[in-house]
Amino acid sequence: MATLRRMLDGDKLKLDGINFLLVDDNPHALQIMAQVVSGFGVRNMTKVDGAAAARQELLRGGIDIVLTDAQMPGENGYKLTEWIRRVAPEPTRYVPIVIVTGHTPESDVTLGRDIGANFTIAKPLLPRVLLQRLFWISYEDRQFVQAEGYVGPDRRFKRLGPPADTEGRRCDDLKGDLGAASQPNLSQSEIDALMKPAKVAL
Amino acid sequence: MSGAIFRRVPNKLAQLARGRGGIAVGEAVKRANAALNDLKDASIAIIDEQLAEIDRLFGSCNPDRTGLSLDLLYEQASQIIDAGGGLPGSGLEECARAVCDLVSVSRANNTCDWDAIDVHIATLKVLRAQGQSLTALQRMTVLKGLSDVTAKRAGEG
Repeated sequence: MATLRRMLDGDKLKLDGINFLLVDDNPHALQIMAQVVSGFGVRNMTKVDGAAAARQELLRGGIDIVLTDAQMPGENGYKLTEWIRRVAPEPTRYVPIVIVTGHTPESDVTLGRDIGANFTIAKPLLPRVLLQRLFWISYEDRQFVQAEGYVGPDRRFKRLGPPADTEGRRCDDLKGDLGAASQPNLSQSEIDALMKPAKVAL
Repeated sequence: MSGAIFRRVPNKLAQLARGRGGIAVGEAVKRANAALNDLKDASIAIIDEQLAEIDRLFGSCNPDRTGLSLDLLYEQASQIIDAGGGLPGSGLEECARAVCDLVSVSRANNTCDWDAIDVHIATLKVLRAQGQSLTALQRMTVLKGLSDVTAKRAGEG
């Protein structure tokens, strides 16, 4: 199982040959994403304002990574992620996905993890936070899992034991439609605790 | 794990990003922050526009506010979060997130506490005006006060 190492200022990443797909219905937020990745030296990016346009781009092929907003009218970023993992043809199905969200209740972060997103990032989008996730994706050796209840990067995490008074927490237990948020937002470190793979003794 | 297939899949990011050349992480972050700075004025304009709308629609000055859907307040606060770092270190985004938390609790409890909303709107305005000049401790205290209000409302549900 993969472990994630801390990114150091002296580490190098070469992103100029990577094709990014940026998805956000908010034009300003989309521009923020674009500015950040262009600052990383990315030359090839496609910006779209929703999941439908994102699907078209993905079907055309050649996308290497998806950064998508979570909350979008109509089909949101979670539905898009689910489509990529379960419906999109290979190799698009395996594309790394980073969900960017202004709202981080645990139910949303857990849903993102359980539908196969690689990482979730809380807005406002901070360059160092995003670059660290790109670094992790570049260096991780997580296998891809395809099962009836889950498609996505291996998500075996720290074993904390099942929550008290619950019967299970497989993705099959979650409803596809979350409805309105009813829990407090998680901090980025709390999100990472849910999302990051780590070496565990099973 | 019956039926689960584990496989190594192509990861172009791993193939190309770790290749020779590229830029150092520290430099990449610096350039990205500089690129973001170009959007700062636009971000502040969006924040101010949304703040004015929140105050106009959901502030105590609007006698008809009780007829409005809190979903709109949630959306407007989300726009402030989306504006992304226009006023770094002001605590404004955290406060906007607190507004969303309060709306979420209100939805869950099927109630609407206008006193709590007034406190949140007042805090948004204070942080917009003075947030960057407050100390981290002062900002934290202000935001903690908001989360205490929401936690109390959540406990009353």
